[in-house]
Amino acid sequence: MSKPTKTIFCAKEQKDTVHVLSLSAANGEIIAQCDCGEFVKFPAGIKKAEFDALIEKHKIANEGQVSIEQAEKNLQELADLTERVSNPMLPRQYNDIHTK
Amino acid sequence: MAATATWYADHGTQTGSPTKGTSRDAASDVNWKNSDVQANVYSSYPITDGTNSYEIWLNCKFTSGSFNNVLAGLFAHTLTAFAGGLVLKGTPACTGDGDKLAYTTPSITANTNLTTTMTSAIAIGSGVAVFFGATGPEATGKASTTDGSADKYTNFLTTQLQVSGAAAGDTAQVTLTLQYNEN
Repeated sequence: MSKPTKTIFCAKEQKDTVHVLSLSAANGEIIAQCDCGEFVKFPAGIKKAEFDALIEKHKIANEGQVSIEQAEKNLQELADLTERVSNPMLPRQYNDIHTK
Repeated sequence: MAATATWYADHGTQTGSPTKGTSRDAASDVNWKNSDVQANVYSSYPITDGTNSYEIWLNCKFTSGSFNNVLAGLFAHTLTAFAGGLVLKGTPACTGDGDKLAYTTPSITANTNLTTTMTSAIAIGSGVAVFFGATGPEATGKASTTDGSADKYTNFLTTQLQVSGAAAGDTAQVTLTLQYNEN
């Protein structure tokens, strides 16, 4: 039997992709996994309308993320075109927290 | 003058209205684990594969007198990738007072209110918006800018580590960043 799938926005790839659906053996939550490895979890026993609503909220929340790699690539492309722009304005403060 | 900003995390059963944790502890280094007790060592409370960590309900406090205004808050995972089988979920953008998350008692159930995927390190400029306000992260009246007339707080910056098919052992140490402007 083929695995159930659903088209869901992938935050990592920044596009809609096919996710394979499965159930967590540990708690019954639905795991929707993209080929890239990224996954999204949904509550056990969820109904279709709520499932679709959560998928839509997930897309809205994650569209537009720029990975560090993409930001560096963009910067390089900008630098090739505008060599005089060499000192972009930096934010004034950071407050980092290191986590494990 | 540089704003003094300190991380805190709420823990325990939700209490009050608006809701907050039973306790609020300073948190310079936090760990996703199978426990909501800050003092519990993460290595003794591993997350079972297929389940999730307890949520971590962070906020940042700005001490009165150390700043005139703070504004333009952004929150993101900015450094070091997670290994496969791990997904970090986080607070949605706060672009209105009604957007802030209400504290709920931490659990290991996947929290569907944490709509932002924070697994990959991203440019802080594409992080989620953060608002500021008085009294505490739970309090109403959050706005994009706040003055230094009293101690001020961000909205809750909640995260949860979700696990499916991860290798056993410690995760990488990652950096979550709160960026803000001050004047």
